[in-house]
Amino acid sequence: MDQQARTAALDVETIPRGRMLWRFVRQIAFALISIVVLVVAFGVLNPRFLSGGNWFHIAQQVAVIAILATGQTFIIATAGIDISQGSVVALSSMICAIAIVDAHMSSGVAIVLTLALGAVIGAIIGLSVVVLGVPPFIATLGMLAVALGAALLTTNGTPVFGLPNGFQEISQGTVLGFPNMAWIAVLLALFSAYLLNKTRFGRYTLAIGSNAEAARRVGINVPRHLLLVYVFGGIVSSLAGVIYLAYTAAAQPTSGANYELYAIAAVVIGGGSLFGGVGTILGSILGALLMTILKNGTQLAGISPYVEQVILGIVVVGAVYVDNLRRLLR
Amino acid sequence: MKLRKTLLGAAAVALLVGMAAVPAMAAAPTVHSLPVPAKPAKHYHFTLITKSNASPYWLAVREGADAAAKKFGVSVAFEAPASGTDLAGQIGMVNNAVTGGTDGIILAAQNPQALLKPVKSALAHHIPVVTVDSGLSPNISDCFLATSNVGAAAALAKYTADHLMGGKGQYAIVDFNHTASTGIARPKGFMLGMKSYPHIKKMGPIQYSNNDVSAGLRIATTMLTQYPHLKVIFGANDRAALGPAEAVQRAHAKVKVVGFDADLGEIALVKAGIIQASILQSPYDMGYYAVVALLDKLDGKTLPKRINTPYFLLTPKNLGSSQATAAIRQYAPKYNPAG
Repeated sequence: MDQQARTAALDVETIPRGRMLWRFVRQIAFALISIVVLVVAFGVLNPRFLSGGNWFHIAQQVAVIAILATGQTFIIATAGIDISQGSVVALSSMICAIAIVDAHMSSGVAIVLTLALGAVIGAIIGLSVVVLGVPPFIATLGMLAVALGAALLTTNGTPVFGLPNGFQEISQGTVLGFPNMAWIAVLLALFSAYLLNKTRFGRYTLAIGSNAEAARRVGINVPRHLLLVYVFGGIVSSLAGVIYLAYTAAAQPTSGANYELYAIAAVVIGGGSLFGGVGTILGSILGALLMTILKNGTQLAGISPYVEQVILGIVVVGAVYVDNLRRLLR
Repeated sequence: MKLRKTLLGAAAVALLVGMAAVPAMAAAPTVHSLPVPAKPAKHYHFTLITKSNASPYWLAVREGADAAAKKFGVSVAFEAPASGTDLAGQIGMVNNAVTGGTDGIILAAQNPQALLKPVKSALAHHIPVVTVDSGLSPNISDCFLATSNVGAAAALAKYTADHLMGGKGQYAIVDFNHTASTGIARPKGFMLGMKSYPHIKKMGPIQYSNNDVSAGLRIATTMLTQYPHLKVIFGANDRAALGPAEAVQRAHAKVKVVGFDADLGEIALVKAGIIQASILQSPYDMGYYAVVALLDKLDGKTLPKRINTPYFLLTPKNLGSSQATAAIRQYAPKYNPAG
């Protein structure tokens, strides 16, 4: 099949623009409506919730999960999953901290090195999936343990301190009154949204998730593409590790635990499907924002953190239920 | 009157510490040096942020804080990450408390350096911060209430060497966490205490159970095979002592376990003689007096930078005493020695 026919087979642009937009709005509607409801409710319960200072903190708190959710969106869109993200965050923050504090590298070099490590981790996961035929859940379960063990091995479990102030600017510094770490998340989200919706890379990703066999038959090199998606996911997880390190100013080998679950929840709340083929970056970011607002708002409103956990669970299941309902009613 | 109360308090602490045959740590003032605050004119809202939200130890701190809140007519909101290693979560909680307009923060820091920035921001907003159990380095909080972990562990080592080992033999250490200040201080104190006994030897490196009882069980089981002449295993907190105790029971070994803290499972093991000694801290008092310290601070009084909360060395012999009951009630306020 020639190039033209191949792109035509995958051309989503043939659907009228208006309907595309409508479909997109419906996909993120749950997250968007939930956020509006929560903002109003928390704003009434404690007016300080709406203060600029609080939104600044929310922006800081959402960044790491939003970044992870971006990587997770691509992987889930291929009908895969990455449950190693949390320990990759831990390993990346350890490596980055050691490179700066112990090896006296400049922050820039250390960050590039860390992102390269993320690419290698992603490649290992990708190769396990496409060459060894290990299901993504198992491949990343293995990586979860390997990365955690490696993170503990780097310093025999001791935390690393003493990062220069310049490095901490990544989280503490601001541009236009908005924390740098949140800008990084926004820029990554814009780039990823473009990648997923406007490029062949993105279309292949969604096509493989919808039907891998069909994707193969129209001539997509499915193994190579999956490998690239996992490499991208690995780099993004490492980036989250760097941001996490700048935010906490200390590298701990056990940090980042359970973050993969928050990232997966963000994708699902944002309308992504674990069966693949569906998912939007904006939806996932809104999912991450919803969870962060829930955490922040329940504290400001004086609601018990245990209740917050219960609400979070209900929101995740509710998001999927609403999604199913929408499909049935169509 | 106030002076008499203070003296009485000091005497009580001396008695408590004296009971354990431990020299009192003279360096830092005790909780009773805090002035008893008047009922505040305003209803203050404080925030208690512990390391994690489900450990009996932190819940005891919370109970103490709640009791003080009730007594002085203030309220205390409880916040904690689900896991003791969610550093970003804890930093977020301190920041949220500041923007939420709390009147004072009680914090058990997951990490002595990482929490410095959010605490600085709270202090800059004129919100007093009292740290409990695990503090900051440097200690920028208004007051730090904690056990002298090095001192208490050294005292435990002395008791262990004299009464359980006869001044010679082998011991091993199971720690719960290598990143928390308490996890670092206790093995350090224990080894320090053992240093003055030339015929006592530590076997192998410190092993870490990461607060997991089953990991402690696995580690201790291996130790029993590895070191057949082992006399004592030191578990640095409740979780780290429970695993070795279980291992010793299963292997019917003669090894004695010494530890820190007291949940009800540990009390039963002390009763059974499996755990031969345990340092009981004062989590309830930490929570209670942290609220008192915040009220004092808001009342314009100067606070000591560091307050040592009392500890008690529990053994099978003194388990029935009223001092032991009082010490256990720091962990389980409803504890009844008869039941």
